[in-house]
Amino acid sequence: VTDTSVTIAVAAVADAEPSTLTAIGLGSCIGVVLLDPRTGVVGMAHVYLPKTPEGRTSSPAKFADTAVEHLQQMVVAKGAAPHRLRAVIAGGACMFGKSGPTSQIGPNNHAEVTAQLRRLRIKLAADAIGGTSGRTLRVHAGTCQMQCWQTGQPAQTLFEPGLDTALDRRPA
Amino acid sequence: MSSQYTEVHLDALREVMNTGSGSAAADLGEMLERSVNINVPRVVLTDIAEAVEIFGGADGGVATVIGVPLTGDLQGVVTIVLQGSAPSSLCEWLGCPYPSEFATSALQEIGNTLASSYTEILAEMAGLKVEMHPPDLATDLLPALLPAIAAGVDDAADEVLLIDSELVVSGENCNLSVLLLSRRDCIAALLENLGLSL
Repeated sequence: VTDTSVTIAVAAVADAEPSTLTAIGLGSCIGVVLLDPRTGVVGMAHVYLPKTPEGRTSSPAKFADTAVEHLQQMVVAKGAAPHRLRAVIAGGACMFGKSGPTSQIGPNNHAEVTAQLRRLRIKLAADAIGGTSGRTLRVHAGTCQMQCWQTGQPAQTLFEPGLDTALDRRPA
Repeated sequence: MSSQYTEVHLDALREVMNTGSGSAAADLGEMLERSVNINVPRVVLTDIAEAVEIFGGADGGVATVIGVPLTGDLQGVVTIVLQGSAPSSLCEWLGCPYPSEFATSALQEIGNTLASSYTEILAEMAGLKVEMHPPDLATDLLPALLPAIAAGVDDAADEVLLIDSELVVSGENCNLSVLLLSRRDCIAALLENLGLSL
């Protein structure tokens, strides 16, 4: 199997073609991808809620306040360079409309993920956030190309390393 | 994580829900003007990630999910999951075009009816005061919907009571499940009030 399904509360990494990581059906959840364009190392976490409840230490990928740093450690252990890391995020929708008890989950997840990226000084390269539809997010290890699509819609390229990062990819 | 509950607890809860499904079937049958039977083959206590897997996980496809929020002594969301042809079949039985705006309110009404029946029985048997709120409905990939609705319950909303239902309308199977998404302490209190203390 070269495609790894990144289900809720899971974080996974991959480092070479043709491996892919895919989060199917991100609603209010957020798919966080960290990638190193030169080595092609990629990682994805499927974040469920913004804050870790008190007294909880398990499932670091489940909560935004621990997931980003956890994923950073995973991709660095796999060979990514911390200073080259870029982030791409998708999800954070309001699945049941913009009012009601569930409407703030997506925006709160988004706020916490971006706060963590800022804290860890990881540059956000692209995002697909908000709305009222579920999304599927896929990243290709090696090429770092990413597709994202809303349920029932065709896949769109969300990120691919540009000219500057293509230069980054030349052997040193 | 649910190791503190035994099969005995869940079996007893299944019996309670079977009682609830009797009145749910009667209410829904009246609405659809058809014979309705509901069996509760299993009750599972799990977390949100596993609950998504039970419904097929990433391959679960598009589903219609109706959430009826509860407040009072039992906080959570009664959640109805319709998969496959269930939404269109239910609308057809109601004589309502699908998909359409009417279909949305018709399905919300069905969700409301089922949620009321189950909630009233649970509240009565457990001696709890529970208030129901207007239903929310969305159609999308199931893994996008269930976590979104569970996350609204509470920061720690990772305890899910899955009441699987076999709904048969005029002899035809209908792919419908009922879940109670609640907090761990609320579900523990519910079991205790039902005389199923740990």
